[in-house]
Amino acid sequence: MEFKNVLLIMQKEVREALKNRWFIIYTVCFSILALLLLFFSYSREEILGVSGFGRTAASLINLVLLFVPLVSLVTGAISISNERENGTLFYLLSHPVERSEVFTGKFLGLLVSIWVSICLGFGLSGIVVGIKGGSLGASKYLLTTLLSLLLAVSLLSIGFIVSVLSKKAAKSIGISVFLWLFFLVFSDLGIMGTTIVMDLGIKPVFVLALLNPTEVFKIAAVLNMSPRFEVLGPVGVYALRSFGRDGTFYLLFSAMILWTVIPIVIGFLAFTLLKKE
Amino acid sequence: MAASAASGGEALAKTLFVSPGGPFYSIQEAIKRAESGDTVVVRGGTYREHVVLDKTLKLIGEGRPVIDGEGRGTVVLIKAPRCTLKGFKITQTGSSLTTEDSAILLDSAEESTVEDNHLEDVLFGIYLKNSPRTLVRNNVVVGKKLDMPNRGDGIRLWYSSETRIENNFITQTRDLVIWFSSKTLIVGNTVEKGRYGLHYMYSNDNTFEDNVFRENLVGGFLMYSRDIRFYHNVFAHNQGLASGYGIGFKDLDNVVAEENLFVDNRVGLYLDNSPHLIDSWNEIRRNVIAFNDIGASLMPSIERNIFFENSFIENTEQIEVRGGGTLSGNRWYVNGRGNHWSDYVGYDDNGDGIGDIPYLAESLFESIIDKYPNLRVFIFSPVSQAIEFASKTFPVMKPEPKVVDKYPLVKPIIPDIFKARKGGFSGSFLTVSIILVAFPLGFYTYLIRYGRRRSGYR
Repeated sequence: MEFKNVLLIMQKEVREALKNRWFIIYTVCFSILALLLLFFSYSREEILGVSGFGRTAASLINLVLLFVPLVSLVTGAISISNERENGTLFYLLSHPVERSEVFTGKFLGLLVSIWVSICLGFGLSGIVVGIKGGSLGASKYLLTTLLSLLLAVSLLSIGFIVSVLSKKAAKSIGISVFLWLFFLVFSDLGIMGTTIVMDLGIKPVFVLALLNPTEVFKIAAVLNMSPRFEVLGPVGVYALRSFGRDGTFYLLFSAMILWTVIPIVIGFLAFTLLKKE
Repeated sequence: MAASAASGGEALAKTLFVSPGGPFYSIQEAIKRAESGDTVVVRGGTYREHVVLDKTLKLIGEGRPVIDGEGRGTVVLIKAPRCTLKGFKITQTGSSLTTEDSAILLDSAEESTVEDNHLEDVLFGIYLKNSPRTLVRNNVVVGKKLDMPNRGDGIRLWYSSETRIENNFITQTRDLVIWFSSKTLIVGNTVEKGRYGLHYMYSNDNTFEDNVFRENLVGGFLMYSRDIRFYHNVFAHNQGLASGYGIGFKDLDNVVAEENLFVDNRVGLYLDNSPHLIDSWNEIRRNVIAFNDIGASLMPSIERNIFFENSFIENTEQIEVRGGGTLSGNRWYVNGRGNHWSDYVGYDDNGDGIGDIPYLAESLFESIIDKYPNLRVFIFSPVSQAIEFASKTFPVMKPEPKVVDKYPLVKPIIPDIFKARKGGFSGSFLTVSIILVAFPLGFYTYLIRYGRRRSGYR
C-alpha cells in the first residue's frame, strides 16, 4: 500500500464531496442547529445564573445522534456501490493502484469530509458561545466533539460494509437507512420490550445497550456532560459501582473503538478479498 | 477591647488575662480563679488543653488563640448557662463517635453564645445538648477527613429549642442536625460536602431561610416533624448516590416552602409519606426547580400537597411518580394560578400569563421508566422521542397523566435573589472552538490542494 496513492484517492473523494454539495449542506445544517441549541441554553442561563445538565445539553446529544449516523451511514453506503454502478470503480481499479489503497483512500477521504463538517459545526457554534459566555465546560465540549467523531467513524465503516456487499446503490441506501432506524429506534425498542416482558436485570440491559454503537455514544456523552451516573438510573449506578468513574469511561471508549475497528476490518477484507466485480 | 466593654457592663465583674507571657498561662487556670460573671480574655498563642467552662463566664479570644485538643476527646465543654465563647480557633478533637468528641459541647448551657470561632479537624463541631435559647453565629466548621460513616455533625442540637444558628460555614462534616427542638431559626448558613446539609428529627415549629446547601449527599432531609417553614434557600449540586435530594420530606406535616432554588440535584424535591396527618397540607410555592435529573419525586400514595407558582425548568424528568401512577390527590394550582413548566407546549391567546390549555405530564416514556427504572439507561435516546410520538399518534397508548395543571404559567417566576449573573466571555471555550474550526479547515484545504504545485494542476 503506497501512501501517495491513498492520499490521491482521498483527495479525489474530498473534492467530489465538495462538488456534490452534500458536504456543504450537511455542515451548514449541523452548524445552524448546534448554534441554535447552544444559544437557547445560553438564554436560559441568563435567567438563572446557574445551570446543570438540562434538556438543552440532551438536545445537543440528540442532534448528534440523529445527524451523524444518518450522514455517515448513507455516505458510506453509496461510496463504493455508486461507483460500481457507474462503472467508475472499474476505471479506478484499472489504474496501477491496489484494492487496499482504493478502500483506504475512499474511507479516509469520506471520513475527513465528515469529520471536518462535525468539527466546523461544533467549532462555529462554540465560538459564539465562547464570546457570549456559557456554563458548559470547554473540556466537556471537546470530549463531546471527540465522541461524535468516533461515532462517525463507526457508522461510516458500517456503511462501507453495506456498500461493498450490495451491487446497486439504491439497495445500499435502503439498507443503510434501515440500519439507521435500527440502531436509533428498533434495537432500543427491542431491548425495552424484552426487559419488560422477560424482566431482565440490570446487567443484561447494560450489556445489550453496549451492543449498539449509537447507544454507547449516548451513554458516554451523557455521562460526560452530567456529573451523576444516576441520570441513567440503576444501570448507571451499576456501572459506577462495578467499574468506577474512569473505568466506565474506559469501557465505553473501548466499546466505541471496537465498534470502529471491527467494521473497518470486515469492510476492508470484503473489498480486497471478494473479487466478484 | 471586648474585655473592657464587658467589664464596664457589670461593676463587680473582673477581667482575667491569659497569654503565653502570663499572668495566666492556661485557660483552665484562669477559669478556676474566675467567678461567675467574669470575663476571661485569651491572647494569641496555642493552648494544648481541654477546657471545661463550669461557671457563667465570657471566654474571649483576641488574635485568634488556638485551643488544640491533640486528638483526644471534647476540646471545650461549657456546662454553665449564659456563657460566651468567642474568637477562638479550636482544632484536633478526638475521633470517637461513641463519646461524641466535639470541638465545642454545650451541656445544659442555655442562653449561651458561640460566636466567631474557627473549628478545624473536628469530629463534631458545635454540639448543643439541653441548651435552649443559644446563639451560634459566624463560626466556621471544617470536619476531619473521614469517610462519611465515621464523621460527626457540624452542628448538632439536642433538646435546644429557640436556638438561633446564623451565618455559619460548615464543610466536610456529617449533618447540621436538629433533634427534639422547636422554634429554632437557621439563617444565612452555608453547609457543604456533608451528608445531610440540614436534618430535622422530631422538631416541630421551625424556620430556616437564606441558607445554601450544596454538594452534600442530600441538601436537607426533614423528618418526623411538623410546622416547618423555609424561604430563600439554595439547594444545589446535592448528588448522593441513590439519594441526591435537594430536599427530602419524610413524614413531614404543615410545611410552607417558598422561593427556594433547587438546582442541579439528582432529585429537586423528594416527598415520602408527607403530609402524613390526615388533616394536614403542605404548601410549596414560588420555588425554582431547575436542571435536576428529576424535578420532584413523589409516591403515588401521596396526597394533600399544594404546588403552585413554582417554576419547573429543564429538569430531565419534571415529576416522577415512583413505581408509576398519578398524583391526583395533590393540587397543582390555586386560584387559577398553576406552575411554570418549561416543557409546556400550549399557548396563551388572551395574554393573561396563564396557558389556555392544561399542562399534562403524560409522557409514555416517563411512565415506562418510572415503572421499569432499569430502562432509564435509554433516556435521551431517539427511542424515547419515538415512543412519545407513538403515544401522541395513537392515543390508545397514552398513559394517564401524572399531573394535570389547568392553569400553567407561561413565564417562569424567578425571585430577584436568584436572578442572573450574566455569563461572561469564556477564553478556554473560545480557544477550543477556534481549534475545532481552524485545524480541520487547514487540513482540508491542504488535502484539496495536495499535489497541485508539483504535478502542475491542469
